[in-house]
Amino acid sequence: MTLLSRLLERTRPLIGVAVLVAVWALAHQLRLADPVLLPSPAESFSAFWKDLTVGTLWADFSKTIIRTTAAFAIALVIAVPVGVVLGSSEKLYRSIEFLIDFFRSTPASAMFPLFLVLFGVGERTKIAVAAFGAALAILFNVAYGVMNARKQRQLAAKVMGANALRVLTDVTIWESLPQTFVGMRTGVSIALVIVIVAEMFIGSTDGLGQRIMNAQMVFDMPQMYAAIFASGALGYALNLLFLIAERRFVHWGGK
Amino acid sequence: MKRRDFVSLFSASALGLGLGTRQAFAADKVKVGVFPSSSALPYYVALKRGYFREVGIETETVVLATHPLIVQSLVTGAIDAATNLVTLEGANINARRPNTLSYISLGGQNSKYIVEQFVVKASSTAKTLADLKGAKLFSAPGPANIGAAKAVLKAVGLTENTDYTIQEQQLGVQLGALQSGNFDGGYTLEPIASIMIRNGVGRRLEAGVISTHLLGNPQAEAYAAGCALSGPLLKDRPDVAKRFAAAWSRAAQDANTDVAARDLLAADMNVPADLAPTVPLAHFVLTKDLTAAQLGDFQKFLDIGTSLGVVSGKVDAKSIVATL
Repeated sequence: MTLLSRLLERTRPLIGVAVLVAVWALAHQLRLADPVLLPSPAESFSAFWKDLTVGTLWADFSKTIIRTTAAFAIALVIAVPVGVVLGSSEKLYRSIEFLIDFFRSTPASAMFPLFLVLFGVGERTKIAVAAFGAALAILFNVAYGVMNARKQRQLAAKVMGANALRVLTDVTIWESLPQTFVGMRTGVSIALVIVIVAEMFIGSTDGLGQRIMNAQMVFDMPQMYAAIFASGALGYALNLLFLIAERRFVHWGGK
Repeated sequence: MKRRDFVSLFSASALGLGLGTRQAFAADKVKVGVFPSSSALPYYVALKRGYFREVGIETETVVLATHPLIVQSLVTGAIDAATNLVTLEGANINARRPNTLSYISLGGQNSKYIVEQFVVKASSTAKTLADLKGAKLFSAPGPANIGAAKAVLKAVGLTENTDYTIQEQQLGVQLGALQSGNFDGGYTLEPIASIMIRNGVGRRLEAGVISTHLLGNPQAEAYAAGCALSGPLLKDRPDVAKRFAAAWSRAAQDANTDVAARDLLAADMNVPADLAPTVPLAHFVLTKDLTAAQLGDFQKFLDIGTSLGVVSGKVDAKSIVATL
């Protein structure tokens, strides 16, 4: 492989980003939208860097990370064991499948009024509604992972004398892990999205969602795009984290 | 003249007459962004009582749920006017993009013309704003509202997070938030406060707080929202803008003095029907009639917005009002 082709290989993921920034810069240059509404990429990146280093972006960034992590942790603790139990009994899963699919299809923002009633208007609502959305995605995937565990390996364990619990803990759960990781990646993305929307609409004085709304209200568009970058970067980083973890811990997945 | 020529001539004349007639009576179209609240009243008065029609203007109502959307629509040219745009947001966009809009009318608010106010739970023992020490408060959403609330509390000697905490809440959830005990009180706007009071959930602690504590004169009017015309409408169709302002002027007069106009509050502006006869309203003032003192109060209000960071730079009050 030549140096050039190696360099091209390394930078391939950045091609899409470069195209996006070029289209954006061109749109700004041609004044396709009013410059007040669409600042240049340079102005926006400069605002991002300034807000992060000398401004208050990091404070909002960390609040969103804390809320997302809390919501995801709660979702994980509840959804994984429940998913394993439901997945172990297909009849049980089918009996509540409608509920899971129904709430998975309901926009989280439509659930805000209910969660406001249940948890009040403080921090708990934002975390609870995000945990709820993430838990459904994790539960669904864990249950399907368990249900679709390869029968061959389960039977082999049985033949070797393992009891039902041993088959579950030593074979089925490990077999379901690749699908569980898919659920975790989906769940963490859902948790982040819901936390940001909740910060926008259900009473928050900090967080990236509230920052985006406030910047839009005062038409500080570079600052608004800076907060959007931060949200996107956070989502990307979380996804990457789970991908790395998945590759490291479930290297047998799909084999 | 042959029969065919006669028919052609007659048809052409009829068509010409028709077109001529149509041109003479064609109404000029103005797209108007409306934020559905009680301060949009003059618009609906002008619309329903035919004042726009009488001056040859046909309006298209574009209901927009937030003020940033109204500003964005003015910037992109999607609307030509806004019935009740928050003045700090109007000043802010003019600071960032000069000549985006000019106000032809403003809604004044103070303890007589009640809009913004602090409320507490009906059972609260608080008698003044200073008694909010230790309270957990909500605020009407947006940087302008929460900034004003904090500035007022600072003016009465309270420090955020030491003496009180405050959190933005959408207007729609404030009654429930107060009733459920999640908050001790908050900074809210009409007609939400009147609804809280009617339901026995809340009590008005002090109204007109911007005038009293920020402008330094309880009688002064805080001009927080008003009717704005877009720069292109004023520049490219000055005659239409002038006729729009004339119709608005009649309607503002009705809104200030004619009790019957209040019927429109329930019909078009999300005010509960049983509250419409008594809900407090802003005082509608035409910008061409502003006295030097009133203009000074407006300037002071805009300067407060600048100090709160809601307006991006110093804005001259005269530069955002039109005298049509």
